[in-house]
Amino acid sequence: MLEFLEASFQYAPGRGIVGANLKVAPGEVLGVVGGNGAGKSTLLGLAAAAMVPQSGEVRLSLTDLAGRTRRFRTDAGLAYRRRVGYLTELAPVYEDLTVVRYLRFRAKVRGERFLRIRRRVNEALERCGLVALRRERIGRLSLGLRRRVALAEALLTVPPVLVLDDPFAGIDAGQRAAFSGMIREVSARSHVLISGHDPQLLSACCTGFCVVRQGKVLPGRLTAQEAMAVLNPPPTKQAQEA
Amino acid sequence: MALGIIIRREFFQLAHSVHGLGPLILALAGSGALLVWFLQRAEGTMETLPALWGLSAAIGLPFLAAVAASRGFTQDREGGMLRLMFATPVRSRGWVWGKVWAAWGLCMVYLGGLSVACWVLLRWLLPETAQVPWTWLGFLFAGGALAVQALFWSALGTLVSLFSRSSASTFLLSLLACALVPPAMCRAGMLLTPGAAVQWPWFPFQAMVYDCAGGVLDVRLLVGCLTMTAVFVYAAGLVFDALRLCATER
Repeated sequence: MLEFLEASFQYAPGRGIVGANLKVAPGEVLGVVGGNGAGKSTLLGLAAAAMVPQSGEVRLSLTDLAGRTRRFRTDAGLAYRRRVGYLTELAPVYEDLTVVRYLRFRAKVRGERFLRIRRRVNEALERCGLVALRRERIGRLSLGLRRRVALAEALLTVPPVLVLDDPFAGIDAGQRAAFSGMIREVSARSHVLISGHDPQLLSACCTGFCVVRQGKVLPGRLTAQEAMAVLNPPPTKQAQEA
Repeated sequence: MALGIIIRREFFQLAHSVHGLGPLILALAGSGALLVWFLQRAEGTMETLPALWGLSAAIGLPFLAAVAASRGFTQDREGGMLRLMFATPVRSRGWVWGKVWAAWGLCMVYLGGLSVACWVLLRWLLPETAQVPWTWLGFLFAGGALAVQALFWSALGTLVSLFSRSSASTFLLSLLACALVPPAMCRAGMLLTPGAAVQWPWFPFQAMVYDCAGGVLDVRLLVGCLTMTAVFVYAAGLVFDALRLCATER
């Protein structure tokens, strides 16, 4: 279970996330939706341990087959970060490397066991449809393909926590469907958080939605239609009359 | 294990990019020309070859180290990689040492290149009758002093690169720090202690290499360099962690 317990992070008063309470169960794909500057990326940054909450905490509880539960916190040590796959908004990649070299480098840096690296890289390449481009230099790839490489990197170690910040930005409809399928496939054992602006776009892969508005996470799980209705409320009578 | 991987990746990125290769060739050309000029000037004197080699290398070293280290974290910041680095299970010290050793590696390539140039000069280009005094120990001491200095400059440049948002400003700041701060500090020391027995040299680090090549080892300066390197790396680690805490990067 991935839990946000009163987690707050503010860049300035009114900017960031305040007192977020959220639970994501294993196998759940939670869509985080909201307007621009609502605090989605901050929430995802906290989940990915790229940021440390100023108050409250974000923790992960994992139960193994023997029934033992281990807890990890984002603000202490590297254990949590070993269990996270993160696709940032900008989807950065090293452009001077080939696809396969980049993935190999990231797998090593993320602490993957030496004997598993080749298998993990091949799996990620196959999953993201990058096998034909494995020897291609990333700098020569299109924006959509670079995002695919960044996604392959996030999925590389089959992490228990997968954080995808606006993964469908700059992606065409065909690739979007492929991405959704991929995310559904890996979400069987992972806690997945995906951010976006449009719940309809995310509905293909999300099992539920939460809405972030002005730095606050609204309580309750919503469907895509409900989230849409919260984000774009129907005009009131007064507004219609006006 | 992660440190070795990061060092290798950073070094090859630096060595393959224009930002690393260009300054390296420029520094080699400049220092090579300087070495030839020093050799001509030293005709008829008792100047040793390691001293001249060390001096010509020491003048170009701050420039190269500043260029190499200034790209460190600035390019990661420009490309948005810094945020991904925060979420990677590698300690801040790992990232910092990776950048420092990569820049140091480029400086070592520079020293290696200049050594080859020196050997070529000695073997083929000098007249048969020319007598140039040299010892292996002199080269070893001068090389050691240069290696320690390179580490110091690389650590300083890496620390500077954490503060700046553009490569150009990082380079200028690093260059100012590497080339001008030591003589400025020595001048300040002389002004503040008038009549002191010790005369500070204009370029203390270059003078250190010259002295080392002649067998005069100033252990205080070498230990000071290594200590300051450790301080800079520690500070850079703290700044890296502070950037994660403040989350100013997208």
